[in-house]
Amino acid sequence: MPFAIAFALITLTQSSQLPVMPPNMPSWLNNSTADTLFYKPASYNWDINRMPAFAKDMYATGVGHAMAYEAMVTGGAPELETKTFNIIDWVLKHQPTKPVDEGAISPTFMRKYGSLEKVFDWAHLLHFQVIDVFMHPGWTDSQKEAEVDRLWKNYSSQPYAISGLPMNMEFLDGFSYSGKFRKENPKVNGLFWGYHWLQTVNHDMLYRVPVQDQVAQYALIGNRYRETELYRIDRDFMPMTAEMSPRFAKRFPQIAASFDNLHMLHDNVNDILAQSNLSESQKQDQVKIAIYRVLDSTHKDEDPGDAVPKSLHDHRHPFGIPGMGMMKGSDEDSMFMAGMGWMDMSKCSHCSISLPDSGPWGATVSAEGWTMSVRCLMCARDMSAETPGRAIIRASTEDPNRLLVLISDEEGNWTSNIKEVVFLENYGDHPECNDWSRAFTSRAAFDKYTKANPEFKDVKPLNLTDWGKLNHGKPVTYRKIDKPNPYGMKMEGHGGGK
Amino acid sequence: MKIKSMFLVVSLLGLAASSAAHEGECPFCKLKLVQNTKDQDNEVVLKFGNKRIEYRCVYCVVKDQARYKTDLVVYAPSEKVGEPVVLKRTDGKWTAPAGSVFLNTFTKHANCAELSRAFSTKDAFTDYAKKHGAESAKPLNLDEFVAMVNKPAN
Amino acid sequence: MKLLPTLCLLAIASKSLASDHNNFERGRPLLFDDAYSIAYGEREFQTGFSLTGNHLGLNSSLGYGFAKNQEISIGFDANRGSNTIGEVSFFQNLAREINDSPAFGFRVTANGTGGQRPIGSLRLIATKALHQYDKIHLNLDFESRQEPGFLVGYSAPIGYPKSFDQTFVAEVGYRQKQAIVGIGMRRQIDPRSVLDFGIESGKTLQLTFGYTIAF
Repeated sequence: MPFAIAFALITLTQSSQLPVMPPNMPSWLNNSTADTLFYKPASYNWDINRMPAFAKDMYATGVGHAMAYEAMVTGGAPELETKTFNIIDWVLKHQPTKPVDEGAISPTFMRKYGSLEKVFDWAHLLHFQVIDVFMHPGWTDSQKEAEVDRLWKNYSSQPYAISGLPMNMEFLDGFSYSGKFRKENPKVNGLFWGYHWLQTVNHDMLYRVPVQDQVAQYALIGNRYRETELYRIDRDFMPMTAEMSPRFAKRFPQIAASFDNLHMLHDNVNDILAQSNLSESQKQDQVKIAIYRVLDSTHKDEDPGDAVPKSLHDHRHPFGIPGMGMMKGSDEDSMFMAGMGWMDMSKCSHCSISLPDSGPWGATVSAEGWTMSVRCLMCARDMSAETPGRAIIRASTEDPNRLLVLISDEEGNWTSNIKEVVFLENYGDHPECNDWSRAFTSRAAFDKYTKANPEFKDVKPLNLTDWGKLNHGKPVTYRKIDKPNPYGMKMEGHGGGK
Repeated sequence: MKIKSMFLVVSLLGLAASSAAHEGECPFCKLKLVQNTKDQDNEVVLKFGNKRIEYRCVYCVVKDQARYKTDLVVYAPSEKVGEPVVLKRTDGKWTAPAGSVFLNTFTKHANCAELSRAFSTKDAFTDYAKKHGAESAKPLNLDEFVAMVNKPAN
Repeated sequence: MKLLPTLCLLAIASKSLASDHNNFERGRPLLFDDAYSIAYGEREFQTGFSLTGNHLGLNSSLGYGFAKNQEISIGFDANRGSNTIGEVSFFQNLAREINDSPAFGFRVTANGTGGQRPIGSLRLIATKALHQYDKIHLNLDFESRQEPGFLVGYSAPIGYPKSFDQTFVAEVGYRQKQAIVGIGMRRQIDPRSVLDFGIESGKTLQLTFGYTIAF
């Protein structure tokens, strides 16, 4: 059968009929026992509490999910956008100071979907422990990375583990029930996707950032989360880990992909529970099938890049993002990103020149809820300057063990975690901007670099204040990918002048 | 350096056909910014502190002003290339050069860059309005323009 | 058997992230168990004081979830006059609550003091939701040299949906020829730890204060 016809049939079947139970469902999905697992014992556990504001926001995310699920299985679906939303919102504004037992908040849901809770709990433990490791004082970055690798291994050893392979999000979100929950409950879905924003954005806030420099970032990120991200109902799709934390996703692609697959499972479950035409038994079956799709065991012996396009076993990823599956409309070179439009993630978001393959180079810029990779400090600064609101730059220095974290106020005035930071900026052609725009941890490091690169021998170092005032505007090399929004939701503008 | 130079050439060649300077989206209406041409400026630039933010039209700037807490300067393209009308918001109050007037007649944001503009004189306004099918538009002074922008939607 | 452990198990509870306020094991603070074991890989230390008349007792235990749904623990109870009682206990969850079916579990315990024959006991446990959040916990006790007994425990989280860190508990029952009535509270104090308080009337009135930490 020609591929196009086969593909059309697959698509038709996927979008019009309920998925059927695969023959090779893991037996544990029907276990009647509790099978509760404990987190890996370690000295870093609960170090999230070193940043109370962040910890409380994270604990509150569990409350919201559990309350909504409980409401949906106890006849509360019609009141999700009103009564349930208001209760969850109250909790989000009065967060618990301790982790909550989600099972105690959603006991009815637990009785009906106990297998799902095993998957959720196990993945949530990984979420928390990764955070704990990065917030643990006294360990080097290498020690932390090695421990996160061990956490992934520990996680993957259980049958409840979600696959670390990139998966095709368009496929996973393309079933007959898909999209119903977000359409009928935009406010509660907005909260859920807001949680996913927080749960994914935090990794770059923490990864390779000295513990003492993590808190200042959360002052900005936490405000953004509580004031904006939780209440957004205009997202096309859930936030993806590699979008929100590209540095983390590049180093830990399996974990990034597993978090996305977990969040997609959440969305599938929301949509299944929102189906008023399904019986209780059908919903339970569909949830099990949704679990099956993302389990590690379902994709045994498959590798990133393996592809049966737009199928369950499509593990392609956009170029430069091994930790993220293909999105709706995306190809290997470009993808549509919320707040940014079409982007080529292998290129600098500011000057469109390819990102170098090896470091140290460049930075990420976080502003307005997005995080993007750029080639150099100048691109980072100028991209921040052209964006309203506060921003965070996380940039390489000459010392691979010292990440520069710059935080701006509303006016673009910067503060630095490295007090002695100096900058090289000898404005030239953008394709080489990562050579002539750099940050150094000290004047001595700057001098060493300029000595080794005689073309910069006459360039004076810039302090943070002087560097922050420079602005070269949008580079001529910048190329915006001009394609329509694949989700079909067009911004209508905000009213006319008459 | 040979490899780097080759990379530079290839990159520039590759981008030359499809790139245009200052491409980007308006932070307010999310539509594409309109670039300056040799005959007419179109880029509306908001400056404060170290920020330099481009908008699609003056309407978008004024409509989006609440997010900024500090004093603002807006370089609104006028009828003269390279000579913008400079608007200032100081302690929350907008000011503009004497004699400047504003056009604000768009109904869809697709047209906002064309039909929400500043002019240094009323004559320039009349000229522009005639050329862009807005003959019936009333020239607005700054206060009228700001009031119109901030008028609640029906 | 003379050297039976001088440690006695009392209560172990926890699921999910840590030891938490909504899981129940005997002694923390009342006598009943729920049907769930501690998590696989979890270690848990419990200690508590009891005040009976003017006599102060101490008990502690250390438990380990050595397999899924199974735990073993050792402990001591210096609560009964001058005899320190040691204990070894095995607990297994057999089923969780699924739809309208209760959760089931059992506990097997051996305890005793130096110089005396050990006492063995078997407890069968069922846990079932009563309304949305509250649950009942039926315990049937079979002890050597004793008549069978029973406990009906009740638990209800307090403060939902605005606070999520404490649970009210109560029980009635008949064990060792005594009618038993008790009420208490469990309160989460941090991610790992729970404090408990209970008051129970059997032959005498007993106050209990306890602490549980998971690690």
